Amino acid sequence: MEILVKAHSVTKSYSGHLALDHVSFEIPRGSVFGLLGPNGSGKTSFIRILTGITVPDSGECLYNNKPVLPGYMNHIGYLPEERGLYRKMKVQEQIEYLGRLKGLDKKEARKRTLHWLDRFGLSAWAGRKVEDLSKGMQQKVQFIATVLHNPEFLILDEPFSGFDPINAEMLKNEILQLAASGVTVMLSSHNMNSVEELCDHIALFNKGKLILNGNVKEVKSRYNSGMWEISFRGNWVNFSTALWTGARIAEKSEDKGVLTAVVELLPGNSINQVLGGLLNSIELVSVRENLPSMHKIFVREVGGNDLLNRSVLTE
Amino acid sequence: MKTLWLVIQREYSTRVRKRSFILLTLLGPLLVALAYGGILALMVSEGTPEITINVVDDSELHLGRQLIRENRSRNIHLVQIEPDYFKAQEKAGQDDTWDAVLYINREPLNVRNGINLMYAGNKPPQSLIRPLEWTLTKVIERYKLKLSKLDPDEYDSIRSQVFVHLEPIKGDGSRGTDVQGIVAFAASLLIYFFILMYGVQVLRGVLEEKTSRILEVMVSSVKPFQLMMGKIIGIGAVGLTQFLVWALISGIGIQIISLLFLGFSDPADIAQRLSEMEQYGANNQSEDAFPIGKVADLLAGTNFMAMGISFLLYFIFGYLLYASLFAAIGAMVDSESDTQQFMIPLTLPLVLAYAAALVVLMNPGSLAGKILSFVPFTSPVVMMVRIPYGTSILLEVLPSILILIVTFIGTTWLAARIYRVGILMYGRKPSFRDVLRWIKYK
Repeated sequence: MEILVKAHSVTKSYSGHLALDHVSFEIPRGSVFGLLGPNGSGKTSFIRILTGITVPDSGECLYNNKPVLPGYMNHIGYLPEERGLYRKMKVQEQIEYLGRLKGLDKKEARKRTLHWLDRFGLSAWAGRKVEDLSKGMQQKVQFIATVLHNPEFLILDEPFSGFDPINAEMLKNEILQLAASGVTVMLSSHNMNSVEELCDHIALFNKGKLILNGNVKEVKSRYNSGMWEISFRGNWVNFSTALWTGARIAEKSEDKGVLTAVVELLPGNSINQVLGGLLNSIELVSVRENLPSMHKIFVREVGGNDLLNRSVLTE
Repeated sequence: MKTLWLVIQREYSTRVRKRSFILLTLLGPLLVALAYGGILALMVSEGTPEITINVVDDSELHLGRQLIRENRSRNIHLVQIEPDYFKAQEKAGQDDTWDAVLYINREPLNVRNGINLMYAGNKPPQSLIRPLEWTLTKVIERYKLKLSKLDPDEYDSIRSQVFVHLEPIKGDGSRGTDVQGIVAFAASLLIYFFILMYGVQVLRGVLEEKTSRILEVMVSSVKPFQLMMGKIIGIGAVGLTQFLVWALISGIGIQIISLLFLGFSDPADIAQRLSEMEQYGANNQSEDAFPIGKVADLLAGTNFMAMGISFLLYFIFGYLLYASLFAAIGAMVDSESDTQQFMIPLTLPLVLAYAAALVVLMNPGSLAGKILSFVPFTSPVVMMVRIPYGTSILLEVLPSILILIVTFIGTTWLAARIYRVGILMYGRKPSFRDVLRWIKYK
């Protein structure tokens, strides 16, 4: 696994407040990397260091094994959390300008702008001023400006905030397509479940500290507490009797005659033993391991009390 | 460099294409031309008012009669009335129906109050009084001449009027004249307005970027320093464009209007005309004493070259110095209403410089003027006015410009550090202590 970005003991403080506290992790090339954590946990501070906007007080970020240099900015595309465009500029001019600042020549910038405007259904608005556009359209323009120069590394700070469900879906597809074409994507979110399905790697921040990071599947199985989801045809009495002392039922649901139970294996039992006991009493439909959500992992890591104090955290 | 150039281009082209810019650029000189035309029209059409003066001669020297004979002014109508009649009318309260009464009393040769002019209504302007005085002087002189039995020709050869011609002892670039002084003052005024107008535009530009939240996108592509300099240079170029267009249109406009109203269009001629009006009746040999007719020669001289180059340098670096600080202020605050606190300390030196320029114009040797012409925050405005008055280019102007440039580099560095942090700060208005901390940030 090739490493694109390596953060080594990055520390940054603002007027006495420690925004990042010795943060170290790696972003593999070609991954979709999720930077998760509640508001104020240090995500944006880290992104600003990665984009060269600020520098760390100590520690360093390596990009392709080299320190972050000014020239490298042309390889990345950055969509900040606070979206903004020149309101009085025309849409096409605006995108071309931002593209040329990233090193595209005039002709190429124009060609790509027209292509993307067409792709996002904004061709008719090319000559209009940005302030005439709806908020959703402005978001699209901003996204186009972020990817116009074909960056190899895309940094998206809270990419879904402000998007309606349809546009959010569209954005998600674009991100997946870019990732499939080899672009490394890092996206931050305080909404952990919404990005869970997009990311293959994550880093979890809280109060400026990195709590955990790594491959999503690995992280989840690390936090696997022996929960299984079993769907079957039959009845609850037979099911509970057959479970006996092997497992405990945590959740029950029923859908069109198929009953589903989330069970927690009790100490000393394996899923095979439990299933062996069940097979005589019910008709099995499906069995799968029930991995915890990132949100649950986060809650477990930072403690429920801490979380309650942070009303900003949403599931 | 390429990104800086792109930023400059954007700042320039978006502003120059604005309707308000085009309108102001085209209409500005039209307004100036209209004002100029208005002044000329006023001078030509209204000119000097006419006045009827009743001459009451109580002196028995017949000065009144001679005065009427000698009067050459078309605007002054003199009518002699008898002292007895005047006194009767005065008693009856009828005297206020007259425009004015020139009363020559029994001792007209008494310089202090031998002759009085009483007027009803508005005070008669100097342009009427001067020719009257001139004619009276002539009449009384002739009377005294007769008394002294001097030969009038001999007297004319003795009579002299002296004008002291000012010439500095050393230095060739310092033959300062009032015309150069006025040109220099106009130049310094131009610098003053340019700095103020376009400095504020820089501030607005930064604020606009800040409120539209585009800055974070920008600084991920462009270094904050480049972004700031691009904005400052771009807006400066907009100002220069506007200035050049104004100069061009105004020049053409003034030519046309001058032709329309006065029938001549050489500025030297106009100056000559104006000075003639001013000097009317004072001296008929004024050409040697007041070489205003040589304006064109002077303007083409070496002094003007030095003035032109200094003007450009002060214009550019004065603007850059202030613009960088205006940019820093723009970066510090979130909204225009918050700028006041920071604007006052910045505009104060400019206003001071303007006042000092006025002082220097009246007294070129002013010590305060000398000092302020080296202080970089006032030098662009003050030194401009001092240049025509024997200021050494090598020993004074050059060092002053160098100080300005060094300070400009310093303030730009400082402003860039404030700008870099300030543009990403939202919400709270920073205190001076916060700003100091920003400067120290790594």
